[in-house]
Amino acid sequence: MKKKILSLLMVGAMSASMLMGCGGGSTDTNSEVSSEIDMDEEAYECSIQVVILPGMDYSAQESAMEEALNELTKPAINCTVDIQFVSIAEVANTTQMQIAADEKIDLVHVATVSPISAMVGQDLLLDLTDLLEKRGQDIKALYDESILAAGMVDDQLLAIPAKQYNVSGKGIYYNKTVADANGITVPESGTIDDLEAVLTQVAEKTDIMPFYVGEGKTNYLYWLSSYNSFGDQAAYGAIIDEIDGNATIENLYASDEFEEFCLRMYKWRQAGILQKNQEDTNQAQTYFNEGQLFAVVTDITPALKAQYQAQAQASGFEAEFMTLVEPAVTNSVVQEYMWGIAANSERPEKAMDLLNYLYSADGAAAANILLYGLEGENYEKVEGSENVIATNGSYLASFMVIGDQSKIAVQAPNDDTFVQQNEDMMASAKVSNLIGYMYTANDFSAEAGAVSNVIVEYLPRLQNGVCESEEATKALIDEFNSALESAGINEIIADNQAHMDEFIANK
Amino acid sequence: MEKAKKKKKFNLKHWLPFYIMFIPGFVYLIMNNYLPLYGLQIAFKKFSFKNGITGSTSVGLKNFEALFKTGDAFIMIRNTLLYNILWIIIGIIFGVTVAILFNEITNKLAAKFYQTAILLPYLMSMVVVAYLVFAYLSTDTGLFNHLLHGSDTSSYTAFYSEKKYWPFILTFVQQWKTIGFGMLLYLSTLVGIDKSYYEAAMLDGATKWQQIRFITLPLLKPTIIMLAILNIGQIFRSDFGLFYQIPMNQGALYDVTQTIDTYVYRALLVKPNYGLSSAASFLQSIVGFIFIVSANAIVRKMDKNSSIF
Repeated sequence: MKKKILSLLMVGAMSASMLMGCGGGSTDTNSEVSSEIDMDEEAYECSIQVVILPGMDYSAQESAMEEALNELTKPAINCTVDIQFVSIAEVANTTQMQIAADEKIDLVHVATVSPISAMVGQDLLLDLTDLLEKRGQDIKALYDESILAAGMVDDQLLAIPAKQYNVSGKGIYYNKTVADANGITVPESGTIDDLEAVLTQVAEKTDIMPFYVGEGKTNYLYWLSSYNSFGDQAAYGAIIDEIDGNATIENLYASDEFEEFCLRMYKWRQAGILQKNQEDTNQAQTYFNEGQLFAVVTDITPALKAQYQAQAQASGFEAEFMTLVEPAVTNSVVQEYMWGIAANSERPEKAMDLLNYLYSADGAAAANILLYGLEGENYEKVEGSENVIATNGSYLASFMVIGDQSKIAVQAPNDDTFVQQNEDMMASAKVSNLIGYMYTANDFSAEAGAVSNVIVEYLPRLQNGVCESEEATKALIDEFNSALESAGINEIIADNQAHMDEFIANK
Repeated sequence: MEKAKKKKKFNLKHWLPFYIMFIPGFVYLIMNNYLPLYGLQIAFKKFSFKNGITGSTSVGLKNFEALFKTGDAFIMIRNTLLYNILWIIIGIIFGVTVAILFNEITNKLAAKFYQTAILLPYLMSMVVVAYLVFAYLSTDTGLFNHLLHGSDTSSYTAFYSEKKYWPFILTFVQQWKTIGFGMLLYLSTLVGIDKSYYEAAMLDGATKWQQIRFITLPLLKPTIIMLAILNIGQIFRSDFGLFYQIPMNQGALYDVTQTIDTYVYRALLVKPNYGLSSAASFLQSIVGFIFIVSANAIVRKMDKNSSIF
C-alpha cells in the first residue's frame, strides 16, 4: 500500500514536470513599433551598462548620478536611468548571465573584450533595424551607412558603433617622468626597433620594469604592428598589411611577422626588458598606475590620450604616447566599442529612446554625467574654455564611450581643438575596404573552441619569451602551428575567405 | 485455497506525521532533481535565447559529436578517467589508514584538534588553495625554489611550465583537501565496531597489525565498497576548481590538466554554446550511471550483501 502511494506520488510529480515543460513557448514577437514617444505612460526605468576598470567601485555615487540623469531624461523621453557598473574583466560573463537569468538589462556594452561574433549564436542581442529607423534618428544622422554596417550580422543590425571618430593609431604610452629623470628621449612615432632601443635604455638606466606582457593571452603584436584580426586573437585568421589592398586571410601564427615577434620577445627577456612571466595575472595598467611599469600598449586617439594622461596625473606622474602603427579606420576599431539592446529587454523601444537621446545634441549633458560623473564632485570645468573639463580622478569610466563626440565635454589636457583634431585625423587616415564585414564561424564552433584552446596554450609562453634558446622558440612555434592545424584553423580560414570574397563582390 | 493472512489495516493516524515530515524533503527532491530533467533536451538542440528551450531547433547528436571531434577529446577523457581512478584507489588507502590511526588517539583534546585540522582544508575555497600553492611553487617568489636553490635564480624550476610535476601536485592537493571528509565516513564505521572483538583478539595474543587485518578491515569492507561504488559514479566528472584554479589556468599545462569540465568551460568563453555544455554534462551522467550499475553488478556477483542495490 505504501509502495503504491509512493509510486502514485512519483507519477504525479513526473507528469507535472512534463506538463510544465509543454506550456510557455517563445515570447510574442513585437508588434509594430511606433515612432512617437508616449509621454503620458509611467516612466520606464532603462538600465545601461557602464564599464570600468576592475577593482573600482562607484556605487557610492550611483544614486546621485541616476538622480541627475533622471532630471534630464524624464522630461525629454519619459525614461529613468538605472546605471549598472560592470568591470571590464566581467562584462562578457555578466551580460550573458543576466540575459540567461532574465534579469533586468537593456543597453549592453558590446565588444571590447568579447567580439560581437561571440554574442551572435545565442541571440543575446535584438535586431535594431526597425528600432533605429523609428526611434533612432539622431544616431542615424551621426553615422555613415557603411560604418553602421559594422554591426550587421547575417542581415540583422545587432549593435551600433559607439564612436563617431573611428580612426585610431596604435602604440604605447609611457611614464614620461621616469624617462625625463633618466635622460631617455622617446620619439613621437617609430617602429618596433625604435621602441626596443628605448626599452633597452630603460632596462639599463632605471630599475622600473620596461615592458610587461603578463598572462600573455592577448596578442600584443596587434599594437606593435598592423594587421586585421578576425575572431578572438586571430582565431579565425588575420590579414597582414590589409591597408595596402591585400585581401588574403592567413594564419597569423604561421607568418614571418609572428616568428620575428616571438624571437624579439625572447631577446627582450634576455635583455631584462621583460621581467614578469605568464604566471602573473595582474593588468599592465595596474602596474603602470603604480609607477612600476614603463610602457603599456594602447590604441591612440585624442580621447584616449586625454583619459590616460588624466589617469597618470591622478597617480602623480606624466604620461606620453609613441605611435607604432599609423592611424587607420578598420573594422576592429569600429567594432571595439558598440552598443546593443539585450534580447530580454522589457521595452526595447525605450532603450533605443535612451540611446538616441544620449547621442543627440540635447542629450550631451546626460552623456557627460555617464562619462565624467558629477560636476564639482568628479570634475571641474576648465576656466576660459568652451567645453573642456578636468577630472580629479575620483570617477574614471575607463571603457565608457557614448554621445556625440562633437557635443559632449572634452577631457583635459585636450582642448577646444579636440573636434578639429579628430576631423583632421579622420581625413588623413586610410579607410579599410572591409568595414561592415563580420565573420562568426557559425558552422565551425567546435573548431573555434579548439583553436582558441591551442592559442591560450602556446601564446603565453611565446609572448613572454620564456623558451631556453632561439631554436627552442622556433621549435615551439612549429609545435604551436601543427596544433593549430589539427584543431582546424585552416578550415575556418578557408570559410572566412569565402565569406569575405562574397562580401567584397557584393559591395 | 483461502488466504489465511489477515490484511493489515493502514493506520493513517500513526503514519501521517511521518509523511508530513517527509513532504518538504520530497518536494525539494522533485524540484531539484526531477524537474530540471526537462532541460536535458537542450543537449539535443541549438539553443537560442530568443526561441527559448522548446522553440530552439533540434540538431540531434551534433553537440555530442562536437565534443569528440576535436583533437583534445582523447586528452581530456584520458585525464578525467585516469585521475579519478587513481584518486579513488589512493583515497581509500589513505582514508582508511588515517581513520584507523585516528581511532587510536586516546587524548580527547588532541582528537578534537586533529579532527579540526584535518577537516579544515576541505572547507577552503579552491581559489585560496590555488594561491597557497602559488606561494610554494611560483618560479620567482615560490618557497620551493628558494629552499632548493637558494638565490641561484637560473636553476629555478618553472613549475607552471613543466607538465611532468603536475600529476603529483594535483594528487597531493586533492588528497590534502579531501582526506578529512573521506576519513570521517570511515571513522563513523570504526567507532561502531564492538570493543569486545579487540579485547578477545588481544587475549588471543594478536598484534596490532593482525587486529587491523582481521577485525577492522573486514568490518570496514561494506563502507569501503559503498563509497567506492558511489565515487565510481562520478568518474566522468572532475573538480573544476582543482583543474582550473590550481594550475593558474596556464596553457602550457593543458595536456595534463585539461578535463571535460575545463574544456567545456574554455570553449564556452570563446563562443557561448549551451547545447555543447548540456551535452557534456549529460554524457558525464550517462557514463557515470553505466559505471555505477556495472560496478554494483560486479560486487553483487562476488558478495551479495555488499552491493548497494
